[in-house]
Amino acid sequence: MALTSSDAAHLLRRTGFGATPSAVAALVSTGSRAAAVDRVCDTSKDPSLSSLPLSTDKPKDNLSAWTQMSTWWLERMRTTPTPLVEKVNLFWHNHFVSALNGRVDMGMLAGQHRTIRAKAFGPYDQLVQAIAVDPAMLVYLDNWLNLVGKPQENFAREVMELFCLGTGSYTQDDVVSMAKAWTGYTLDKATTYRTFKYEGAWHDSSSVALLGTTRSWTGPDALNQVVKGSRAEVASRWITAKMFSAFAYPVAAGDAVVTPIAKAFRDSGLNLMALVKAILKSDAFWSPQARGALVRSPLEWTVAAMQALNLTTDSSQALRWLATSGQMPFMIPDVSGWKQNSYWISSARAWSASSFAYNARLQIYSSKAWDDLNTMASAKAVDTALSRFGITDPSPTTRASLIAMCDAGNAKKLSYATGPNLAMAILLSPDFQLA
Amino acid sequence: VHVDDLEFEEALPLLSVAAEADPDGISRRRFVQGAVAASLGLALPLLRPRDAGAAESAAPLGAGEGVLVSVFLGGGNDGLNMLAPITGTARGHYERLRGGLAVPAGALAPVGDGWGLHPKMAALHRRFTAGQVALVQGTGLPLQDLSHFTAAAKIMQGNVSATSGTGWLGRFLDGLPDASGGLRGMAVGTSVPLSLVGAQSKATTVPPSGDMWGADRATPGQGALLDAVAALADRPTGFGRWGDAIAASGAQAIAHAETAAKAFRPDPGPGGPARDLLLAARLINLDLGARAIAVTIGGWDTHAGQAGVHEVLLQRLDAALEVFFANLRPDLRDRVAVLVQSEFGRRPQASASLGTDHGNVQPMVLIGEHVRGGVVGGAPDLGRLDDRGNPAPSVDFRSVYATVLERWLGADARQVLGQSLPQLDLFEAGPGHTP
Repeated sequence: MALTSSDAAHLLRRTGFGATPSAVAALVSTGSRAAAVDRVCDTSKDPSLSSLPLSTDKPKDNLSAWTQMSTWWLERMRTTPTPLVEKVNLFWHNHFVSALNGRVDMGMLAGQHRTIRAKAFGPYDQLVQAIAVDPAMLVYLDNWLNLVGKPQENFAREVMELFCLGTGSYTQDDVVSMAKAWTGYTLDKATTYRTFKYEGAWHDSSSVALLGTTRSWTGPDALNQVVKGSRAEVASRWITAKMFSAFAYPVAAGDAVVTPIAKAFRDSGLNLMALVKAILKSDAFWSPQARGALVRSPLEWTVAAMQALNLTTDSSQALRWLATSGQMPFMIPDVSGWKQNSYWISSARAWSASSFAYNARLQIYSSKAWDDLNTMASAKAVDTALSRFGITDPSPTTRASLIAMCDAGNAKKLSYATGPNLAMAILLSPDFQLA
Repeated sequence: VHVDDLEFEEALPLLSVAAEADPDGISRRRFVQGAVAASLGLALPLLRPRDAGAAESAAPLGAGEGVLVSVFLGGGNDGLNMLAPITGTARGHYERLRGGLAVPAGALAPVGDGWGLHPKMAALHRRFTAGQVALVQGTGLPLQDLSHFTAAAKIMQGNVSATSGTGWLGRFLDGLPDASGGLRGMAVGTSVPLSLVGAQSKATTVPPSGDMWGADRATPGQGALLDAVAALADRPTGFGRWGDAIAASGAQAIAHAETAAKAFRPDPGPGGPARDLLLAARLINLDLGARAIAVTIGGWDTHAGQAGVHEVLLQRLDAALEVFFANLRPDLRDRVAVLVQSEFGRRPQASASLGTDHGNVQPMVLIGEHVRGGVVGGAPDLGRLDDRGNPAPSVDFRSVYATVLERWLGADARQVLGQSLPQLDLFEAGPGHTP
C-alpha cells in the first residue's frame, strides 16, 4: 500500500522518536508501507555492542554512573541511524524491570542493558532465560536469596504475573512451585556477588506440580514450561499484546487483534524481530484506531524534542527535567514498569514538560536557530514550525491558537520572539505530545 | 477483579501506586533528583513564582465540610510489626512465626487488648493516648492472588466488583458540584493515583519539585504564550480522548500554577515523606476547597532484610505525620482526618531472607481531632492461618471507606461504593463540630 507523509511520520514516531522532515521524505520514497517497515527494521547500521562505554563493575558513585549512562543512552537515542533498536531496548528495559536502589547498582544495570541489547531481536525464550540469571534481576527480585526449604516467591510471582503470562493463567500453587524450581540460582561469593552462580546444595529438586506437569524442575525448565510448554500460547499472546500496545494502541492479551500476530510469532520460533515486523505490517498498526492512540512518554517526547530543535542532552538539560517527569532511565518506580497514556497525563507532567520547553525556548532564542520564522507571516511561520516538528496533520485548534499567538506578538512588536515562542508552544501541544 | 479484566488504559494509572514497590526506591530517587540538579550546576527552581498570586476561582471549604488525606504506603506495609501482640497466645504465635523479626514485647507501646505499636511510632502512640487515633485491626478482603497490582486495584477502587477504573475518592469527588476544575482533589506526586481518578472530577497533581510554569505571568512575553497553550484546549483537538486530555491538562496546570506555587513558600525542605505531607498541609491551609488529598510513600515491599528497613520507614512515616499536623492551620484541624493504608499486609511467617512475603490483612490507621480513639475490628488470629499462611480478615476494608464517606465527607457511601456496608464507630463528631 502506498505511503503518505502522514503514514511515514506515524511509522517514525512509533518505531523511533522524532519524525524530522528529511526522515519523513526518505521513508515516503520507499514507496510502500511494507518497504518502509523493512527500512526501519534494517538494524545493520546499529553501532556494535563492543562500542558500549558501560562498565559492569560496581561503581564508586552510583549517581555519576547514572548520569553518565543515562546521558550516553539519550544521546544514542537522539543520534542513532537505527532508532528501532533503542525503542525496542527501551521496551525491554521497562518490561524486565530492574532498577537502581540500595542493592541494585549501576554496574549491574549496565550488565542487564548489555544482555537486552544482545538478545532483543533473537528468540524470546533465550532473552527470558538470560534475564532470569542476570545479576540485576537476581538482586532486584531477591531470587539470589531463594533456597531449598525457604522459597522466596518474589521473582517466581512476577515472572508469571508481569513478565510472561498475566494473572488468571496460573495459581498461587504454581507460584510456590516456580519459586522452588528457582532455588539455588544465586550470585557467586567468589566474585563478591557480581556474577551468577548455580548453587546445587541450595536447589530444591523435589517433584512438584507446575502449570499442569509434575516433576523435578530446574529453573530454566520451569521457564520453558511457561514460554514454550503448557502455557506457550498464553505466553505468546501476553508479550504480543504488550508489544502491540507499545507500537500501535493498547490492547489486552485476549483481544482478537492479538491472535494472528501471536501465531506468526510462535510460527517463527518466538523470534522477536518477526514479532516486531508482524505488528508493524498488520493492518491494525496503520488503522485510524492507531492514530493518536498513544501518548509520548516523557523520554520519547524529550528525545523527539531534541531531534526537532537540534539540542543535546546537555544543552537541553534533559536529565534534569526527566527527573521531574517521573521517567528516569534505570530508575523505574516499580516492577510493573512505567505505564501508558493516562499515566503520563497530569498537571504535574504538564509542568515538567513546560520546564523543559521553557529552557528550550531560551536555547532557541540565544542560538537564533529559528529566527527565520520571525519575519514570516503568521500562518507561514506556524506551518514551517509544525513541519520541523514532524507534525504533518496539525489540529485546527492548535494551528488557530498558534497563529493568534504570532499575530498578538507582531501587534506588540514582539516578532523577535516568534520562533522561540512557537517552539515552546508546539512542544506543549497535544499534536507533539501524541506518538 | 484482575488487572487484565480492567479496561486497559483505565487500569494503568493505578499501577503508579503499587509503584515504588522497592525498598529504598523512593528515597533513592528523590536523592538522585536533587543530586542530579546539583551535579549539573543548576539552581532550583528555574521558574520562580512571584509573591502575589491571582485570586483563584475555587470556593473554600464550606461549613461542616471535612477533608480526607489519604496516605498510601506502596509495596505492602508489614502491619503485623507496626501493630504487634505483646502478651497472650497471640504473642506466642507471633514469636514462633516471626523469629528474629519479632519486635520485643517490652519495646511495644500498648494500645490495649495485649497489642502495641512499634517503638518507632512514638508520636502516633502519643496521639493514640490523646484519643485521636483509631486503629482498625484485621482489614482486608479475600484475595485470589497476592499481587501488588490486584490488591492495589481493589483497595483503590474500593469497589471489588466494578471494572470501571475509577477510585473511591474520585467517585466521591464526582458527586460534588464543582469538581471538574481540579482543586477538590489533589495529589502530591507525578501522577494521579487510582483512588483519586473519577469519571468527571479532575485531580491536580502537585509536583514535589515545585516547578510550575504559569506561576509567573508577569515575566515579559509570558502572557501570550500562556494564553496560547491554554487555548489549545478551547475546542476539541480532533485527535480523540488522549489529545483532548493532554490539552485540558496543560490548561489546568496553567490555571492553577500561581495558587499551587504558594505551597512551596517557604522552601519545604529536602525530598521525602515529610516534605510531601508538609505540602499536603499547606495545600489544605490555602483553603482552595480541596476535599481529598493523596500522598504516596513507597518502599514498603520488604521481602528481604526487613528489620532495619521497616524500622526506618516507620520512623519516617511517624515524623512525616507529625510535620503534617504541626503545620496544619489550627482553625482547620477539626476539619481534617488522615487515613493511612497499604495495598496489603505481609505474611506472619518470616522468610529465609529475613523479610516477609505478600500477605492479606492489614491494620488501617485513622487520625484526627474528631476521630474516636481506640482499637476497632478484630485482631488477626495468628493461630489460624489459611493454606497460604495468612489469617482471615475480620473487617471488610470498604467498611472503613463507608464510614469515612458518610461520617466525615458527608457523602452517600452506598452510591460511591455500589453497595451498603456496615459502618464502624470511627468518629466522635463530624467535621467542624464542637464535640
